[in-house]
Amino acid sequence: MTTAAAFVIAPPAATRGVGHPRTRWRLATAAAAARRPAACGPPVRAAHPTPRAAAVGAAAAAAASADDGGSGGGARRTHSRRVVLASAAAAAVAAALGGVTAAPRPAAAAAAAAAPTGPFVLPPLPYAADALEPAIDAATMTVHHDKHFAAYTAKLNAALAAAGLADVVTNDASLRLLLGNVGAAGGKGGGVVADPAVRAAIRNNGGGYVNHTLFFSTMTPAAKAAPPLVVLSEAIDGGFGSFDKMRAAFTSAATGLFGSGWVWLVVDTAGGNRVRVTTTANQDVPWAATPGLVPVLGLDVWEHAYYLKYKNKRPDYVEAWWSVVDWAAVERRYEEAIASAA
Amino acid sequence: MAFALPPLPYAYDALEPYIDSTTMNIHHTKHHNTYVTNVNNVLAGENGGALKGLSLSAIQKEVVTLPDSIKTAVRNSGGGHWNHSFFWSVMGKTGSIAEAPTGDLKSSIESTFGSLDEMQKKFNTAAASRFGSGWAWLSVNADGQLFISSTPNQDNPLMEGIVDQPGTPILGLDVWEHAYYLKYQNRRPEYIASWWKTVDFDVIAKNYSAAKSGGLPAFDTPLV
Repeated sequence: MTTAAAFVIAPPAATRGVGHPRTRWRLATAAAAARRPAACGPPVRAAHPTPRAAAVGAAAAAAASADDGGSGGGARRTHSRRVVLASAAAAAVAAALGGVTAAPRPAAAAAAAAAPTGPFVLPPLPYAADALEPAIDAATMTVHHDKHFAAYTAKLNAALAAAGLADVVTNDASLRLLLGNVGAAGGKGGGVVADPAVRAAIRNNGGGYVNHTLFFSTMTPAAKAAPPLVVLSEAIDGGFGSFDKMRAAFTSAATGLFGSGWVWLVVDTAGGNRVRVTTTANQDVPWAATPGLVPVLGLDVWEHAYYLKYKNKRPDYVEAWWSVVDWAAVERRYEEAIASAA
Repeated sequence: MAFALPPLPYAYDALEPYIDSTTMNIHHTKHHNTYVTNVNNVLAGENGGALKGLSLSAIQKEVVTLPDSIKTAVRNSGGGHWNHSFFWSVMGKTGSIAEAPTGDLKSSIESTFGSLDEMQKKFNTAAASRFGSGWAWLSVNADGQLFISSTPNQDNPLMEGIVDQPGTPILGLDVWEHAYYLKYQNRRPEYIASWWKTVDFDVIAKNYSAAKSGGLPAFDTPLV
């Protein structure tokens, strides 16, 4: 059975950042990234892993897919697997930083890089702003993408710079690992980002970035929307009994969510790849609280997602949104999730 | 016992151009009304007896003691009802409000924050940086000191045992997106800056005076 200890990888002495304000590592996720090429939209800046970094990435990916060796019943296997996933995420991020917590940049340097334009880039909308009418109005799509999503992107870049991670967390796979780290352990004072304000900024804006990337890329004009294909249909039937029951559970969660947040259809890669509905508050991501959850479909129920057209009538928004879900994109994400968990 | 939606103390367009009349209408007749309906449902249901006869303000302080079966519902809907009833009471139409603090409130603001401007800056930061849904507050703590805080969702400083910084609110601002989105969209800081023009500092002064003597802000919470 694999343990967390197997994945503490000591960086070579020459590059360990002792005495340096920052260590420079590439958080190599080449292996993980290769398994999820379309998971988060267009690739924004490919990592260029060194052989050592590639080894770190391969170990992290291997850890993420490790089985517990069939040591017990389903419940124990799930628990062990979640621990492995959480430990692997923490170890991969920590290893990439040379085992030290990320050092905040000196104030002068941070001010000089006041408005970083990278490493993350705002993905363009995959369709015209009015393409999802009448379900989602063009004004909402424009403000949602050009203002809210753009702000999350800019603030994520600023937060990574403040954390000294802008050279380390440079693609979606590494950002997902980091969010797993700051969202769960990080919230309790652990994690690789020491400063609580910077940690919150990464959690909120990094979450906003990945969540909106998924949201816009799993919708399509209604005319092009088709029902789920076989593989996903079977998974939904297995998880809920029928598509209609899944839709009802998802809708109920969406209308009942208090405040700002998201509703997700997730694959529980630590729980037999079962498909489930779950929710998160604000811009939290599902795998932060529960390692192994991979979202394949998400619905933004922050009021900004629907207020201009629907005002307080969130149920009407949810109902209309179903007509623009891109089940082909959801199915692709589902297949990538189970392939990477295999 | 059931709460009624308190009438708005002014016309729906009274706070124009700072807060638009459509927002005031939907905010009052839909959002606030839903909180009233929902808290009444809890009162009428199983375990609702624990709240019977309590004033709306007293209910806020009791949230932490409630059984799990109703705690979240009362926190959310009872909080929502208190917060919005309070919110309408601290605002008013230009020409019929005190636009700046005077007397005791003014000196306390100055001694605590340095100046009114400094207090507003701190308040604005709290309001702008509350991530997701929530409220910003100017309150009086147990030592009689003014402080600024923000809370998530429909929590408020009266909810001892729930909030990080308990106290008695004397001024509050709704920063849920429904409070500003139709007119301001993502521009929450612009909403916050405009909102100050609706604040009636005579009401805030009365709230402050009450809080200093261990009381609560006074506003309409009619029963059916």
